[in-house]
Amino acid sequence: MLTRIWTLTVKELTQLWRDKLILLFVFLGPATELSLVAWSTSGAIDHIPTALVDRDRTAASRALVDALENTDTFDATHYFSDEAAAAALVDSGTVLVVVVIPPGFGEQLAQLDSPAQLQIILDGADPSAARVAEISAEGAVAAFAQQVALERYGHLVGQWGDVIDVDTRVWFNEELKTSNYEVPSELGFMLVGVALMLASLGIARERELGTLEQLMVTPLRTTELIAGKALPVLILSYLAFLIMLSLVVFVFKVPMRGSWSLLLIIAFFYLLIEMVWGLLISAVSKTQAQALLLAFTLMMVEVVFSGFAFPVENMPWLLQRVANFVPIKHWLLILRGILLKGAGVDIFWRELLSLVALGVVINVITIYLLRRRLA
Amino acid sequence: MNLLRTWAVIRKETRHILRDRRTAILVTISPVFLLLIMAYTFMVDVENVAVAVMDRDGTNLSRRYLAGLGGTGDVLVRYVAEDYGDVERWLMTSEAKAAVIIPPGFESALQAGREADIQLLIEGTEPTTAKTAMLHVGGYTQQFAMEVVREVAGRAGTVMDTAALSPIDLRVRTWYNPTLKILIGFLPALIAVVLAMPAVTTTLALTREKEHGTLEQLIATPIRRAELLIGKLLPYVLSGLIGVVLCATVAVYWFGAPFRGSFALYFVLSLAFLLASLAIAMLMSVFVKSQQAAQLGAMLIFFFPGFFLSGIFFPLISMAPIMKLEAYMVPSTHYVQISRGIFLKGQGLDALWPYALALLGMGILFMALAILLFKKKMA
Repeated sequence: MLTRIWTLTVKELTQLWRDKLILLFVFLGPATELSLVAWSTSGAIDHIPTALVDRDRTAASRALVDALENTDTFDATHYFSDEAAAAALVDSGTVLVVVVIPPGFGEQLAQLDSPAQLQIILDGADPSAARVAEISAEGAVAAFAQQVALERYGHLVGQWGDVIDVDTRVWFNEELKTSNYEVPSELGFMLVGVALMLASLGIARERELGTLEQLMVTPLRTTELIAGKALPVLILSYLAFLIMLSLVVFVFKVPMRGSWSLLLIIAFFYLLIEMVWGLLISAVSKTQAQALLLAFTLMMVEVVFSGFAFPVENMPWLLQRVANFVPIKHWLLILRGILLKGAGVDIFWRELLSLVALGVVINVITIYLLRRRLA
Repeated sequence: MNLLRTWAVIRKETRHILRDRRTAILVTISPVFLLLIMAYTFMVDVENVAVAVMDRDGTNLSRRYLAGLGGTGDVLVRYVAEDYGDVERWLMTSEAKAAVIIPPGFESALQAGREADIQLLIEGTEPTTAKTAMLHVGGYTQQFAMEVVREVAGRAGTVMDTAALSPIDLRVRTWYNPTLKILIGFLPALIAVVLAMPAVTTTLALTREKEHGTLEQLIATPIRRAELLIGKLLPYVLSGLIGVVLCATVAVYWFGAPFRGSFALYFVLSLAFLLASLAIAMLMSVFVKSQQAAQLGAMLIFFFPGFFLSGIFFPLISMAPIMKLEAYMVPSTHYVQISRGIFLKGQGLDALWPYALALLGMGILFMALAILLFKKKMA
């Protein structure tokens, strides 16, 4: 039995080996792309071009602008004396933020009998930048406002300094580097891609080209056929994983604080699950075109549920439940846990259990379907 | 170029697509299906950060601080810890994204006019959430501190102005998307992502014939190479356009996205986008030998760059210059600008012409390259 599986594996690998482009796409492609994406997304969203409409022109308004610029989120690129001209720049997309300081801002801050007005306009067509700008502006303005109030009243209450000092300590990702979150996610996507793509066409190709019948008349049993189709995919995608993991840890310097052996073992079983998804697609598709479209659909679904843009816990209730059936969600929690937190099974046993359960269910369904369709 | 012969290829390819019902349905329906799923995951309504709190002071003032923290609406006090072990565990499992710890002596320090401390532990694996938590807790603490100052000053006989608690009234207005509903902002851009589906299918157009050995038969007919490629491209463009109309309809009528520009312009520029991305797919189709290779290539060319380099999630302005250059080589980047501009800003061709021109240029360049290289390869 093992020799027959091995024979099929060798046949598959030879077929892939002959098409050099495939090897290029499996090994070099994802690694290159991972590097590209990692470089372009690793920086924080900052230096957003900002138009300033300072109609106050006092020391206070200038100090406020300094406070905003000191966040590094905003870059004052344009100065105007009226709002309309600044608005035109938002329309054309030249600036994403307009800060409007109305006349009397400084005077009101000096008197403190009513709050001084300040307006910030954001380009909502770019929601990522708008969100960062909003949070950053609110923080900077609040700090500036407190400074103003303390300067005025601080003498009443002695030497309080900050009154309440928030001693902040960031764990696991001390410098809050975006890349430490994004790069492992991106590795996750590339990996899903490779495993799904390779597995989904395996049996569909033989069926479309009519070679499946030939395989069926050989002494090869159905389970052996499935295993022989699965093994090469596992080997290739695991190698691709090792290449990308080395990039993530050694080139992009994402900290590796946990156990290597644990990570390598779990990764293998995770790939097994994704690969079986691919085989399932292969089982239900009549042509390679169908398999390809189904594989891409599934991949996109996996990506949105990975929580790379928004954490899954912010999604609507029903979708949070659905996300539990998407393997990548659990895998990324485990991957980040091992890399950044040095977590062990005691921390992520729930995710691991979910993966195991998912794997068993998918395997049973796929093998059942494949055996029925191949019989 | 003979229109009659091109028409024959178009009919052949259309029939080919239609005969395989499932593929035909998949390629037309999958974009709108994916848009529906993606859109729901972007329906982020409440964005409060889950925190754990631990009150080691146990005084009136510390209780007031913690009660107020939960009342801000930005922070969800999910856990109350008994000891540091609890805190550590919740941060480790990410069940809490931050922990606020009030050390003993919080109240007595403030009453005595000394600076008080608060400990904030942040689970840093998700930097955006972490920064949000830091800002919310920091902002609330400042507010609370001013209240305390006011009370202490009041006891000393000085009445502070009310505006001292919040000296600046900051009004943030988000244009085009006033409530900054995340979904509405992302919907037009997501259309660019899901329209990768017609492109990935196009990569099979020639490879299928190659794998089946029918390409030689086609070459042997009087059909010219250009006619063959263009004839093969157009049916996929058509299915892509159906996808565009379906996606726009769902975005506007199902999710309530505004459509402020001209639909005719949107349709024409979507056509330009489809031509550009399908031309790239066709070019790849000339090179690869098997559908397996085509599929992997499509993933590398359309899927990842379309998601990550197109400025949907990572604004182009924050990218390094060399990355920007790369981003502009991806058709989706231009289409994201077009889609957002027309949907949300109501922009016309006067603002969008650079993107339109880029797409048109890419379409012509890549199609010409495909035809040229196809001739060479087949010669």
